Amino acid sequence: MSTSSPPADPVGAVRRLHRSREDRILGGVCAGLARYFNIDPTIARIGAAALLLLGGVGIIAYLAAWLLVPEEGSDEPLLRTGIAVEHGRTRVIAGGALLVVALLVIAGRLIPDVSDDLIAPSILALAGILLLVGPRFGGDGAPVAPPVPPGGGTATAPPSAPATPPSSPPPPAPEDEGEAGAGDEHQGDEDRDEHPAGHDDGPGTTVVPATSTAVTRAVPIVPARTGPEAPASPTIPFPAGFTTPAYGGGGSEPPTGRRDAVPPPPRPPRKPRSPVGLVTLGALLVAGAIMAGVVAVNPDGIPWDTTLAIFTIAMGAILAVAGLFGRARLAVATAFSVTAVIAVLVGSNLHLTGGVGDRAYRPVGTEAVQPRYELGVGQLRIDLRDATLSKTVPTRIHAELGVGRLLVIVPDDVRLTVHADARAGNVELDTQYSGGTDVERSLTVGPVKGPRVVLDADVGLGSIEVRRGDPPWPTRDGDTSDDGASARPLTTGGHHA
Amino acid sequence: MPKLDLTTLVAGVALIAVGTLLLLDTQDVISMGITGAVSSLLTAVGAVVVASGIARTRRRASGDLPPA
Repeated sequence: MSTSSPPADPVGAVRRLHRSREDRILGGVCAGLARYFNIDPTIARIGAAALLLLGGVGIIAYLAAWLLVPEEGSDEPLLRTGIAVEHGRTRVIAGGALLVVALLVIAGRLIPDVSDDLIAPSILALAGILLLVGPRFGGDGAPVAPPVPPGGGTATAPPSAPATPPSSPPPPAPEDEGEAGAGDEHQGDEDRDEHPAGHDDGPGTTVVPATSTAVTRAVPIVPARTGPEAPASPTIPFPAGFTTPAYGGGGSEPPTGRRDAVPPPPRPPRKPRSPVGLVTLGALLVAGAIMAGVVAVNPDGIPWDTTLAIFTIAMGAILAVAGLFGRARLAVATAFSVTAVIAVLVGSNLHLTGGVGDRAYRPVGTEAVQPRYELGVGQLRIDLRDATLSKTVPTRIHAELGVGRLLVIVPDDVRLTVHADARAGNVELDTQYSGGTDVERSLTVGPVKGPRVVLDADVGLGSIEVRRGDPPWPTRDGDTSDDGASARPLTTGGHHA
Repeated sequence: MPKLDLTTLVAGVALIAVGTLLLLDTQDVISMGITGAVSSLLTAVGAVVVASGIARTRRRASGDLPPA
């Protein structure tokens, strides 16, 4: 008869979300989510990295998940058990990150010279530095040795440890965690013993009280066997107070024929993880932080697209050097994901300066016409119908839009020369329409003797529309449109609304 | 003795090439456009995949990986 039995998992039980212990980089949140949703952990990590761009929402969400989602093999979240049970590098990273983020926030409040733009690069730099130096703490994510209580006469056997027949000799080193203390790096993280020796781990664990000195090493679980089929006596003389709870298999009755039972095959030893991947990832983060810091400190210095191109070269150099020392597949995936975004941004020739929103200009007189109009994202509308344009000197206008719609309206009596360039989108010059990528069109229309306007229109992603006269304007499908009139109320004098 | 990883090394060299092209584009030395930028990136990805295949073949030949 067994003294207790572990609760059996009910059939169809709700699948629980756990942080991963095997495939973690920081807290195992992304790997746990990936396992829960049965997707590649890299995808989850890329998504988490993307969330970092949303004003810190990703950081808060990650920290919340870290604190609230229990770790694999445990039902208690970190918020309840305390961060002290975390091991080695993870503890260093978590504690250091929280401290520095807190210091940055406090510094931003107290020191007016600290720009808010520096906080995000600093956090990136911090994460990179911690990844760089992380492998020096606690080895390669190896657990910190649990404290050995005075007396040392305790030992625990992991719940998953196979039961040993009473007649068999005590197993040697691999299960000897109680003596080793720090655990075996090759056993895998899931075999770590988080609790100090002497702690009752529940059913399936044999516990020797701390007062006992007869047993100073790990002892295999010996099931309590009663009845006539029970063996005569165990080979190990257990001292008084030694408890033998339920059989580790979970059943209420002890199994029969244990000597014939085939033990599960031993798990192959895990290769120690190479620190090259984490170091490379950390170097990438530090490089990104440096670039972001340079732009934040001197926004009028190097253009952002040039900075991104240089950052791409830096990422390549880091990977090339890392390749000389070992594998860094996660860093490769990360670098290429970032480069994909950079290639689209730089290739689109996006001009994200000038703000976000709708801008409408309707200059009156010659002086009010600006040589340059620009907008980052939104609709940019330039209406020259009320402007007084010179008949002797051409009026040159450069309109630049990152993402959105550029609408330019000129009077009918103007000799208009347009050069339009849309990296991805469409260009409508009067009645001509072109769409696709790298659309580049030129057009000259209007009376020869009229005032001359030379327009250079540049849009990254979106549309360029140049209309003449008053609406409605003809469209490419033979219809008419007065869409431009539905824009925001126009202002005069060259000021935007 | 450090163990060279061909895939990571090729990925680094490919990214240096892509970054150089992007830098030249930003300086108006060449005009790639979005099509050229994406094409260069896909070329780099292709180079990495080829390098990965070569590395795997080598590992398989040396017995580090079981035969396919």
